[in-house]
Amino acid sequence: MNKKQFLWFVLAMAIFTATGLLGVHSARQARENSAAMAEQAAASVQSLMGRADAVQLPAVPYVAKVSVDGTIMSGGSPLSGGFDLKGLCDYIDSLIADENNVGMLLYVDSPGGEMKASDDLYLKLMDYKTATGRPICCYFDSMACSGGYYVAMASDEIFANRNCTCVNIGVYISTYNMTGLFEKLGVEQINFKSSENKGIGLAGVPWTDEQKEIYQTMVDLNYEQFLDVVAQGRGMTKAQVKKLDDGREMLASQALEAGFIDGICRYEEYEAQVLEKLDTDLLYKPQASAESLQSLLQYFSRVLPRSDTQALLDFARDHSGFVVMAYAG
Amino acid sequence: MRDKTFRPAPFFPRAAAYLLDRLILAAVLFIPRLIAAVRAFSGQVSGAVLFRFTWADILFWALGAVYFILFTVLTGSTLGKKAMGLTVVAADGSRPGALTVICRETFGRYLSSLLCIGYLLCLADPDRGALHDRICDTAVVYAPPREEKRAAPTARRAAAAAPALPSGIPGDDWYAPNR
Repeated sequence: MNKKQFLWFVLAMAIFTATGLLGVHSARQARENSAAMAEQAAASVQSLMGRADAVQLPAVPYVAKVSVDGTIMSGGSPLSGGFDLKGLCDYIDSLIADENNVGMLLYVDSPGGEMKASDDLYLKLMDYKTATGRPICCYFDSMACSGGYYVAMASDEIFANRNCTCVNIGVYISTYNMTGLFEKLGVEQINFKSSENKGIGLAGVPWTDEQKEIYQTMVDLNYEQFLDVVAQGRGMTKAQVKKLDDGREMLASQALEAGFIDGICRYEEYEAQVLEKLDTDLLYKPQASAESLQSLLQYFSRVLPRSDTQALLDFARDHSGFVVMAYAG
Repeated sequence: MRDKTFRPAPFFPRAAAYLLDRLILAAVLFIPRLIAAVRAFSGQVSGAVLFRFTWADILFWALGAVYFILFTVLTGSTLGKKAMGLTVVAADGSRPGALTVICRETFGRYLSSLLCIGYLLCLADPDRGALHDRICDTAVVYAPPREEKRAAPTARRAAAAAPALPSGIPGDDWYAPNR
């Protein structure tokens, strides 16, 4: 090793030591920040998932806005798309547990949805009311049909936009007889049933009158339940409810006249009114979920190409099951 | 001074050779690195021992350096350089000594790798080479063609074999139609 090499060696060691010490220093700083960063990351993941335990409820008295937006279904999440029933119920649970909450503004803009999901939400709202005794003030925006109206039965008062279509009391089941389609596709469904009325609604077999009767009875029972809930919620008798709405949609003015809602005003007015009544000026709204991600996923699932036959088979599959719907129409 | 007949290798073949060497090292050390990574991740090994470097980092760096040093000292070039037809020579054109190669492949290469400026020097002036060449007075040149290398011993052998042929044995010219 000559003198030149030795000098370069010294330089190399100096640079190595300097960068090394710098690296250690910045690593220590990063470690100090890492706890905070991990916490932040967890929070953002949770908010992406739209889970209620990620929400930071205010530390001062507030009214909580609960939005029932879109078709009421179970099984959706902000990430996969669809109605996040679980997230909403979790949110209501956290409101029940929170002392600073003084009331709820239930904002409904929904055509209804599944009977079961609507009832779950209704019962959760009733839990809120009975557990806390705090008022639920409800506002109907453009639509509060069927299941959307059903959930509102937990509220103490209902105001609506003057162009809102609402009420629409009743339930239905919709299914398809696909025998014609299957025949066209050259598909035969073969079913082995333990008894005559097992496996009703299998897409490849027509319904018998008895089977239709079975499901009609179930729909009737669900309807009775709906009538009970409305009668209780609006302080009417079941007979009155049945007489006032035969399952049709109503405009806000008609609903007001029939006693299904309590008033008509714009949303901003109602919001101010509720805050004034509950003596607070803070309306808490949970953060919007990752809608862009959701719509992107839906977009990709829509643009995937399918053959006509595939599309028909998908249609058959998607429509061969059925649930009781408390839906608009 | 270096023999002018050597043709210094420009930046890109040298970069390609280096990339190949790194790929070879990565392939050979893949499994050990995987094991080290798993052990580090599961927290079985204590962390940094020299600044932010762990024992594993030092070991893998050393293995890389040993590869470069051994191949260069023993054969004149690494596998990557061989693939690109390159060889490392000292200032006088001879194979560089062990100490020179060690300097070249350890702190020389470290200095060149700082922001890659040392390597890029070669792009500006292939004759004078990268920083580690300038420090150690080495050069990376195109190796003499394979034919040339092989031709010499073959010719020697032929020359040595020719007179050894017993004269009494007929050659293969006995069937020549002109005879």
